[in-house]
Amino acid sequence: MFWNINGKPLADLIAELAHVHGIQVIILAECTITVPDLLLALNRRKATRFHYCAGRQPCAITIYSRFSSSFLTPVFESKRVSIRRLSLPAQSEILLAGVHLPSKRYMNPDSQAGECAALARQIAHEEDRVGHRRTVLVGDFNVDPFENGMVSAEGLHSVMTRQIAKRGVRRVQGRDYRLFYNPMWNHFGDARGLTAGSYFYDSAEHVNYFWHLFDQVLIRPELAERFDPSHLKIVTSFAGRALARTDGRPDAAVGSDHLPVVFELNF
Amino acid sequence: MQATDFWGEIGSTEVRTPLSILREQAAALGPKTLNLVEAKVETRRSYGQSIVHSFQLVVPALDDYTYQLFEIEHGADLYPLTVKDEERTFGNEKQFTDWLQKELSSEKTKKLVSNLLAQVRS
Repeated sequence: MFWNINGKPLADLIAELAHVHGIQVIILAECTITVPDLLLALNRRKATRFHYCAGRQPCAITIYSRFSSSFLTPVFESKRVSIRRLSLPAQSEILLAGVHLPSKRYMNPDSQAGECAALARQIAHEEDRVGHRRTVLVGDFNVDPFENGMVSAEGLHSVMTRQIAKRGVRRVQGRDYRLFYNPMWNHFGDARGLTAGSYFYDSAEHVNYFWHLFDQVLIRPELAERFDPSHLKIVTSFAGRALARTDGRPDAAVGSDHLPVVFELNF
Repeated sequence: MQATDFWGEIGSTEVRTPLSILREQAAALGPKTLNLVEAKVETRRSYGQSIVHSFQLVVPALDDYTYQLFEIEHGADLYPLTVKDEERTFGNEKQFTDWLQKELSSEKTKKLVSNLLAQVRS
């Protein structure tokens, strides 16, 4: 599960959500809840035993897991990125990266694309070091799936179908670029209901998308083959509790200004 | 000419090793503290033919602060086993587990865990 909780004290809500959805790994952005407070909330139920997965340095990403943190070791960390090696017994190892990239308030789209390109290079570097490309990248990118940073070959190079991602790499001007599958494309628009993204922003500008999908899950083709897009959800309510208002927008009075994303991955 | 195999059949012995005993006890601490204080065992090779297991208390919320509770050392025979720095030696599993139980439930260990819990909650 990934959730940008906007600095809110949502420990009980996170715990309930994790319980209802059987969450194994919780990745949070803008989390100011102390570790003891969140662990107390998460582990209030007898059968639930979440662990805090400490990083090596302060990072915008906070991670808790239902298994020992020794299975989720940091391989790279910066202020905004945490890349971990997830090696569970009897399962293939994967790289799990959590990110919170700079907001549009402080960076223009070109600079954001530059951040995405730097992130893509870092991920490729870590993949080369561990010797596989089974990578999942989750977070608040502050960039929509259609923007250059997410789509460009030099950027995160994420595409909207598994069939295209299956190519693995794409050659542009003689250089090979690794592809990601971005299942978030399926979550634009109002076909499922009034919630048409994970974040809503209305501004008095000529170009206004209103709904955004800044919160995304990108999956390398090696893992995308076994990923069912219907198992990725933007959570608007659970167990009778609404995280969205009646107009579908995130209800910041109850939860955060972002909606949580939950997904299931087999590896 | 085919080489002769003098090894015979080899299988691992069905015994509880000191390491598995320590790991069992390490796993039992987290649930008692809501995973605020956990325990882990780190193993390394020592000089000569010995193996050393370090039993550690870990506080994830304090940047993985680690406190080494004790270290044990043994050879390929598993026993006799020595508690390092205390120079205690145990000849079999029963002697070792009796000591381990006393050590983990001692006032000194309880106070240590309580202090770490207080530290993380402050």
